[in-house]
Amino acid sequence: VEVGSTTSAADLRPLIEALAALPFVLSGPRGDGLRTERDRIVRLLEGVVARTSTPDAPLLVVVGGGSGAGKSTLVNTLAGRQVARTGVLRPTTHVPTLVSHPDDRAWFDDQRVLPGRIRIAVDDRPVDDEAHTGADALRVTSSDRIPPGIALLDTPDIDSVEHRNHHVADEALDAADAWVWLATARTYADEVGMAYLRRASARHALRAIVVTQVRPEDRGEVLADVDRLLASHGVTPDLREDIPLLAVEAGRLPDGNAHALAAWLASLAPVERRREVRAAALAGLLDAIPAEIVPLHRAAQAEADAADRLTGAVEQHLASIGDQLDRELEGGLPLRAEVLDRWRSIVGGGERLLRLQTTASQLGDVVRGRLGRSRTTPQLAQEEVAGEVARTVTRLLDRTARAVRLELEAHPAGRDVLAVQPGLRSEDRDRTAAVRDAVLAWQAATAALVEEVGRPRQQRARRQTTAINALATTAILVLFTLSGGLTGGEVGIAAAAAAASQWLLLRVLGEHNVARLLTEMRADLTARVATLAREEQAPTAAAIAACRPPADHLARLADVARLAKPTGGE
Amino acid sequence: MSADLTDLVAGLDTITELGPDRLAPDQLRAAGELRARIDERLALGDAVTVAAFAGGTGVGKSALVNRIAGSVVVDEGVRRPTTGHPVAVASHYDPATLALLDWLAIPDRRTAGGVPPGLVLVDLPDHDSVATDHRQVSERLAARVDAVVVVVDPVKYARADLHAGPLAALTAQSDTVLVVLNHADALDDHDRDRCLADLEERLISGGHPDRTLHATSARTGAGVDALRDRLADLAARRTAAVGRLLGDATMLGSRLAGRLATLPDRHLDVEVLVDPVLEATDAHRRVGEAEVSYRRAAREGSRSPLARAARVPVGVAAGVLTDLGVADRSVRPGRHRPDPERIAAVLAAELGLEATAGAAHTVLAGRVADTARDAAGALAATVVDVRPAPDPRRWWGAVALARGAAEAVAAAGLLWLLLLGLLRWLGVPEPATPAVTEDLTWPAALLLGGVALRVLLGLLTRFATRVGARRHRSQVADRLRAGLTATLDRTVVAPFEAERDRDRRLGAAVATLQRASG
Repeated sequence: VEVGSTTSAADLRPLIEALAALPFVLSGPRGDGLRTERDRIVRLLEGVVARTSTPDAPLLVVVGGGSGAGKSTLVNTLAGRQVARTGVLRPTTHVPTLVSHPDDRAWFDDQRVLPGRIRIAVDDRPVDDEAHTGADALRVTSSDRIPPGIALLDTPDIDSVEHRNHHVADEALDAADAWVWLATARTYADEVGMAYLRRASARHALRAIVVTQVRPEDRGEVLADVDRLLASHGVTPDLREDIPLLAVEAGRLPDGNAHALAAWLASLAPVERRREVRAAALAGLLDAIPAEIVPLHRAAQAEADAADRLTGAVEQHLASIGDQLDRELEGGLPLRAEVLDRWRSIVGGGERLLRLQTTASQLGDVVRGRLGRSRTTPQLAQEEVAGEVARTVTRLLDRTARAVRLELEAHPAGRDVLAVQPGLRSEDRDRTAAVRDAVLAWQAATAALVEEVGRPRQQRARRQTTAINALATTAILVLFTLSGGLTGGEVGIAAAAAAASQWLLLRVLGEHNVARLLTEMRADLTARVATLAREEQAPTAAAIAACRPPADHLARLADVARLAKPTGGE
Repeated sequence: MSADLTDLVAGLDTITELGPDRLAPDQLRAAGELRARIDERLALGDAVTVAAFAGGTGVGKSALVNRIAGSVVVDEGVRRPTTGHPVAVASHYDPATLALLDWLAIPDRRTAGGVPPGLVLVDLPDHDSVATDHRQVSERLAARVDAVVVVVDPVKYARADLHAGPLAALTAQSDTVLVVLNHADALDDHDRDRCLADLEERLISGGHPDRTLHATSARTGAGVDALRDRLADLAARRTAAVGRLLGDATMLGSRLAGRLATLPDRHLDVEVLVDPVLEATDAHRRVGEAEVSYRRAAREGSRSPLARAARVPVGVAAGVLTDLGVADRSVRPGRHRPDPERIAAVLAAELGLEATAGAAHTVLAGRVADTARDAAGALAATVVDVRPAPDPRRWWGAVALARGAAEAVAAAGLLWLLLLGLLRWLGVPEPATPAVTEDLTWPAALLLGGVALRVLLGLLTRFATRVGARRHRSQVADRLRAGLTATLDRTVVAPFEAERDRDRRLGAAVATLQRASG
């Protein structure tokens, strides 16, 4: 995107889209302001596109200023009749009023300027109807006192407690071809107003500054001070006028008190001058856009960084679950009594189980089956181990979920994510079935592995009438997982060799194969648990990703923000 | 010092003591500052009341001060902003007044006879002009003086930078805040009443239910006398200084109240904690081991001398096999190390940590983790302290003796029979064998009786061992449970109760602050 004085309006499309897509949900309490500012700049850019295509349209001259400065009174005076409400209650105006020459009315019936505002023709309505129009209205009327080619827009204030008024005024000023700024002799030094004048300067907006309610006796001193103040803030108006403190009749000043301003307006009306003024206004806007986008870009970049940090932290918790599992298994799991008994009878117990599947043992199985006790000791062990491992895995997943939640709660951006997705706060997850499936799958894979490793050995060992009972071997191996034996390293093997059955296991399978089995089993279990954790935390990752400003949009903003001149470079 | 203030100071001290960990640093600092300000202001006495005029540029603060003072002592320019530094105006300066102004750091002091006695007026710079240093000075002083006169005018009375600025910092004040609509002469009576009504509404919705509203005109002098009387009355009552401090305390209290990270009010039940902790510390294994070791010990202890002698070669063989690394029946599953994380998980669930959010969640999770880490070691030590091996039982020896006797009787019978058989084989005439009955001779009776007795003893011993092992198991389990309960009480429940007690004290202190001006 090429934003700058040479930009054509069509180039703005991608920037508008990029801006509009930024959610600004990770900035906490600042989010509201950022979203409002984003909407304002999007509207401004859309306005630039629309205005570029209609160079001959009447100039939109926006009357702005603080509450009570006399904006509505001035517009009424210029229109020659009361078109906008005036009064003592602050703020008086909530809805903007547009006055044009009757011939120019058609220009403002469509949505070319101030799009989204509902046009309400108020020619024959009383000015107090404001309360009955919505906040998103635009009151439209006409007066033949307004020169053709000029439209005056009366705006709400920029400084009252009604913050919505400020947004309406911002919207109007962003759409302005020229500004008429009002301040009273007592409020001209207010910071809020001066901030707007600085913005106008940055945009090279054509502006007239009117000091109202000037007491004749103070006039010289006040105007000199106004000029000094404007100069010191780098504000150079095209016209600086003053209006004395006068009694307001029917919402307007006595005739003849705004003739300098009326003449200035009339001088802008010819079509060539109009084109010139509008082109300058648009060029100034495009020039100023990078600087106005900088704060938004900075905030969006900060959000992206915060989201990336969160994602990184969550990722770290997920990545560490394997290590945690390893530590748990190496440390040994706390065993329930029945599992402990099973451990003793199988691992500590004897060769009997490991021994070959002899005719006698097969017969024994048949007899047990007849008696209704179809499950053998190794099978029972497998089931109990499945339960035990599942409990450990569940605990680890719980721990990870808590750690992730804590990570989110501890960071402001994380709290924002939780605010968007309150469901993430719930730790009550039903993961029983998933964990069970994963552990059973792991046991099945282990059994397959034992068979695969054992088969060649079995053939060679036939002469010794020793073969491997795969089921029992698997049972022993998985029991090891509960007791610090499944580390695969030397310690694990040594521990394995300490028990009689393991000694036999080593002899039958070979030390190398036992080590391989243990290593692969552990890796398999770790991988399965990591997958479970990742699946479980997928909503969190997705929520963070959804809140993060999209990278390509951010890049587009960065390209524009880079063009901003350093502040103070008038 | 009034009773209210004594409570307040105690409350602030409690907040300073317990605040770290529970309050954000800036909140803690605010409490410390208020505490210091109470001491400093009270030390300066209540003889003098300082009333500052705050407001936007051009509303006529200086003009009002001049009107009340009765002469032009402060510049009233038309250039904006006019007043760049605070100016104090009083009828005379006694040492107390001078000390007070030194404390407020207002060096510019002017004298005007019209200022009521005991009152010092301060003309503050504006809070809303392009001169940002004016705002800082104005905010600093408005936060320290005894009473604030907020001056607005028909143009500025609804300004956001007023209602979100100086006025927002003065909620919870009652008679120490006066709101003045100056330039009231610019409006006719009807408009002025509408304007005042609108302002009043905004004040109420902005958190100033006790607002005192005046309409004045510094130009015509209308309403100025009423304002002066009001200020004179405030000075005569000498309550403004304390009232201001109490109001500030209330505001601070309300700000703190919403952000206390305290424990959920849930009682920690040791009984509920014990079971998961039993599991987390692997105490179940201890219980299982108790039963096994009882059986083993009972078996060893009740063995007869003969059986004992017969087992010597078995022991030798087992030792050799173990040394060869061929078999070791004593191998046990790896010992579980207690994990603070598991205990933390149990605690978090019991405390209802899940229901908390944001900073409270973080703080509480940290406290739970700390407690669990401290408790884990003690809990593990408690489990280790409970020995699973039983003390030798007396009946084992008795059984061993009885078994030995039975075996001896059977052996005697056997020996006797063998001797008789040998004699018969050698053809030596047999000595007369005494008979118990006609069919049963003594040697046969001894042998059969001994064997039967030995078998019976064996059966009885096995039964007694089973019963004894079960009893020992449950004794160990009870001891573990009791030990863990005691340790949990000491390492978890007591610290949490203490913590909750501190939370309660902090909550009470904050509530005291909140009530201060009520």
